[in-house]
Parts: sequence; structure tokens; C-alpha cells
Amino acid sequence: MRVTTISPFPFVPKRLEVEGPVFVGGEGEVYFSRCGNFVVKVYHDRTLPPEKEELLRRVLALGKNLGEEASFLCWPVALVREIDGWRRIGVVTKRIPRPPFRELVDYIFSPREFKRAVEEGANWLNYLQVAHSIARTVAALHGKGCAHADLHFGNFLVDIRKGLAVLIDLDGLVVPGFLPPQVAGMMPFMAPEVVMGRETPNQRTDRHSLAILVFHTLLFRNPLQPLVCYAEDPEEDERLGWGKMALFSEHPLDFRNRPERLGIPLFRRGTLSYRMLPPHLQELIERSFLEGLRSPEQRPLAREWERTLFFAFFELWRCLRCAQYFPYPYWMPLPLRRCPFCGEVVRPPHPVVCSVLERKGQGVLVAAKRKIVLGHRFNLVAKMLHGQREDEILGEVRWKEGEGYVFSGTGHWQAVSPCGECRKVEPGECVLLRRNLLLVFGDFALRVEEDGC
Amino acid sequence: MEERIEMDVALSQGLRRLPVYLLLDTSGSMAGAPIQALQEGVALFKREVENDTFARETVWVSVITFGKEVENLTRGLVPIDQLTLPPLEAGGYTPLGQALQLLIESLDRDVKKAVPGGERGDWKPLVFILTDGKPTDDWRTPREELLKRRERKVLNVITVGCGPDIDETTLREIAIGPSFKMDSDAASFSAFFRWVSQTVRTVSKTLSRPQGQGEGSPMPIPMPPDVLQYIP
Repeated sequence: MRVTTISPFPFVPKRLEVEGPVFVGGEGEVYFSRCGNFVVKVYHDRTLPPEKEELLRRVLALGKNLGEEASFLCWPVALVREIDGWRRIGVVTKRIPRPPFRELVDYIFSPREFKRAVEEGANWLNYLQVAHSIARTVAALHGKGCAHADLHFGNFLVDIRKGLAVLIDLDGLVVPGFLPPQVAGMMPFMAPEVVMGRETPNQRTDRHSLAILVFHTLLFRNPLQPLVCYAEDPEEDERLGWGKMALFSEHPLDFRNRPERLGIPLFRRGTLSYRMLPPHLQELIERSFLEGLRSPEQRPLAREWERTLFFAFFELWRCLRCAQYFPYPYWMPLPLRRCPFCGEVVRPPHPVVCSVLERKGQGVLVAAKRKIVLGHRFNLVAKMLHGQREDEILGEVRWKEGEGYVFSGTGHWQAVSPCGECRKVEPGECVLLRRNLLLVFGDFALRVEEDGC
Repeated sequence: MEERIEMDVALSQGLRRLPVYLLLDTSGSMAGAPIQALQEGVALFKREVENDTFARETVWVSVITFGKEVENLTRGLVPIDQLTLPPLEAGGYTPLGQALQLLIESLDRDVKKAVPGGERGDWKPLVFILTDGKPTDDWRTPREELLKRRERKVLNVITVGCGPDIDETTLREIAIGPSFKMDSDAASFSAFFRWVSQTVRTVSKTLSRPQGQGEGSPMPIPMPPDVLQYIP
């Protein structure tokens, strides 16, 4: 079939040969261009509101000046004018290559998908990268004043080995006063107030969907999955289960949706709990699904997710048995620190756990909400402290048998002993990491909370 | 040191199943290429559904054949990855009525009913009936029962007639829900099963949308291939 397009971008041909449909859904049909570079979505005429084309034109206009965001927001690049001479309405987007990209659902739907990915060489670390990448896409979109309105695991394409996520289906964007909501979403990802018909999609409801996506990506289940029946009619039951009766699976008092074998290692037919995640991620999850479930304004912003997920990388430890990276559970008593995947106890030498401090007004060092976990031959990198994209190496940690962990810096830094003695340390000098030692690097510092001995 | 550990993972909890029934005619007139194409078609269906994460996790399937024997080959509903069929044999007449009766029994026995306050029920079952001839037993009584269930909106049924021996009048008589006609060559069977897979995949995805299966929202059947002729 021949598609005629209208586009402000010179790289989109005026005419495209397409084949398919490769997918037929409730909203329309999807075709691939023969050249392999584009995806064409054509709407069913019967479901089309009269103003659809104008709305699509507005969406297209919003995507004209994308910078690096164009690499992870798959914005429409053209409108469909005709197909084989017939007037049709649709949009053209760039085609994301598959492989290496696949739908997010193929990696996170259940522990089965995680198992397959691990067998193919992926690691939970990649899932954390994907979760961060998802939060980044939503943060970028919200930064432009838009809401996606249909965030779910079929609308992200993922390169698992690189930990990259690309957001697709941006044709239903919502901008208050400019683009009204056109779609409601997918029930398990929709905010309860949208399921109940009390609210239309907006950034606050997107924030709910994002929290579900992050949880699902890290723990392979929906945190609100209803386990109890509320009505005989399945559709009514779904509406109640995800809407009026929506309930966090790990609610501290209400156990209706509590999954079986919660907290048992995943590879022993267990179910991962959000308690395996670093405390600051746990906090965001509680804000999303305990407080924010009924109070949308409490839901964490996409930027908060992005930042917290970024720092979570520096709290990982690798299981010596199953090779999965997992958040080192420094918040648990030592004998209970286990790999959440295979259940292996973390064996000595345990890693060094440091809390991060940053200089606030009047030069006082104040504890930031994050920790850094370091082991033998771990580099301390500047971005671990401040979160910016700098790869400057500040030094290296090593395990010295009979002594413990030592740190040697690449530049000058200051060591403050537990009794308050401060001294300047030369580059290359090894300093034994003992509990309560303070390592000061300009506006940031690390306090050794656990020295691994 | 690291070891290769066994990864014994659990299935998702609380997922509502989508029961899919395939009622396949294995009467004598299906002998030769058609029965072979039927066997390959079911294998194709399995492959295509298994390749779709959403469908793989939600679709449970049951295969009922009717010919010399009337049999539920899967003994109820099985997850798609556990669907295995013995070699199909063509023979006998077309006991559609007995097959419909077996379907009713399985619907009553194997489809999970919702228990408010207790277990969640299954999605509305999706039934495909493929036959190449006039039924040779009492099919009107079980058909009436199935029609009633369809009217109560607890069942979706698609009937397909294949080959030269089935005319539009017969098809209209036996049809429960939308009906189609096609040839009985290998290409038609392949296209049919591909369409069945696509329908199942689309339905399994659409169910999570608001009004996915509700009243006033028709089942999202993908455009049938050219080999399938819609019988109004």
C-alpha cells in the first residue's frame, strides 16, 4: 500500500510503501514501511473523533524541537494524508529496530520473562538501568508540560543489554488547555481515579503509571494486582479491583492482595518484595501506593524516581552464587543479608557502606538521602556523590588481607577521624577505612558506616 | 565461585485466564491434506500464541475434535505451552452436537467462576468451531444452550465452515456468533490459524483496556484474511 504523508521534517519521504498490518488493535492498524525506517499507525474511522487530525497536528508541532530526547521519545514525525488514494487519518513515527529492542512486557510480565532474560545473559542490574531509563523518559515528557496518558509495558521498547527504554505511542499526549485526553490507558497501569471515571489522564495519573512501571520492572509483578473477586462480571470485577478497591499488595495492615511466598528468593518459586530495594526507593513506593494511591498529589515526581533510581546503582552488590546484582541490604541485620534471587547469604568480606554528605549553607556537611556500597577494586566516581554526568575517578577501594579495606585517592582529599582529627591525604596514599571515618571531597563527603570487617 | 543454579520461578499470581476452545472437525471428509493442514494449523497456533508474552501468560486452551470419536484432547484447559496433540486421524461422520455437548461440559467444569470475596473468575471464553460438513447428530439442543450463553454475554463463538461440502445455508443454521467460509487447502488452513492466533493475541491485550469485553464493545476481531469469506 502507498501512504502519502505530511511532515515538517525533510527526512520523512512524501510517499511511503507499507506492508502489514502488523498489528490490529482497538484504536487502529499498524504498518511497517518497506524501507524499514518508519511505523505507520492508521486509525479506524469508526472510533475517530472529528477533531483527531487537528489534535495530531498539535502533537506533531510539540515534537519539532527535540534534542537528545528524540533518542528516547519516539515522537510522531508525520501525519498520514492518504492510503492508496483514500483519505485516512494516522501518524508516522520512526521505527525502533527489533532486535535489539523488544517490548518491555517481554522482559517484566512475570518472573518467567526475567528467567529467560538471565539465561540470555541479562542481569538485574540491566533492569535497574531500564527502570531509570523509563523514569527519564517520563521526566522529560513532563518537563515539556505533557502527560502521556497511556503509560504501560507495551508502550516502552527496551534494549535490555544497554538498559535503554524508548517511549512510543505519543499520539495521545495530553496538554492542559491544548491537547485534551484521547485515551484512558491500560487498566493495571491506570490511576484508580481514572479507572473509576472521576478523573481524566494528566501528569498526576502518569505518575501513578510510572510508579507501577518501575515496580513491575524491578520486581516482575504489578503492585496492585487484585487477588480477590469483587464482582461476578469479569469486567466489573476488573474496574473495582484496579479502581475503587485498589490496594497495595504489601499494605502493612490489609493482606487481601498479598502474594504467596512473598520475600522467598525468586529462584525458589518466591515473590520479590519491595523491601529488597534501597530504603529511598522503598520510600517512593510507599508514597506511591500507600499515601498516593488515593491522594494523587502525594505521588513522587518522575524526576524523583529518576534521581533515586540513578543513585540506587551505587548500592548494588553481586551475588557470588547466582551472579545477580542486588541492592546490598545494609538496613538488615548481618545474618539476614541474602541475595533476593537465589537466597545465598552474603559472605565476608562484607562491603564498605558509606553515607553521603553534602555541603549546605554555611559549609555544613549534611547527610544526603543515599548510601554508597563499595567492595574490592571498586572505583569511587564523582557522579556517585553528586549525581551529575561526570566520570571523574576520585579513587579506588581495595581489600588488604589482615587489615581491611583501604582507599587510595587519585587527587588530594581530607580524612577526618572519628575523634575529629582532620588531615590532608596525598594522591595514592592508602587510608584504612574504619567506621566513622569521614572522607571529604570538596562539597561532598563519605562517612564510613560499615567497614566490612 | 559462581555456579549454574536452577532458576525455579513461580507463575504470576492473580492473572485472569482467557479460555480458548478449538472445536475441530476430524470427520472422514477431512482425510488427506486437510487433516494434515489441521494438525499443522494447531501447531502454528501454539507457536504464534506462545511468542506473545501477554497471550502466553493468559491463554489457556482446550481442543475438542469430532469425527470417528468425539474427544477433548486436552482433558480440559491447559496453558498454551502445555498444548500437545496426538496425530489427528480423519474418519467417521460429523457429530457436531456431541462436540458442542463436550464444550458445554468443559465450560461448566473447567472455566473458573467468579466468587465474590473469593477466587477471581476467568475471562469470557473464546470458541472457534471449524467444520467441513453437515452435522450428523442432534446439534440443535446444545446449540440452543450455547446461543443462550452467548446472549447472556458469557461466551464468544466464531464458526468457520470449510471445503466444498458446506453451503451458506448449513453454516447459517449451525453458526453461533459470526460465521465465515473458506476452502480446505493448506494455505487456507494456515491463514485461518494465523488469524485465530492474531484474534487471541489481540483479545488478550484488549481485555486490559477499559470496556475490553463489555457490553456495547464488540470483541476486537482483527480483519480476517482474504481466504475467509464472511457469511452475513
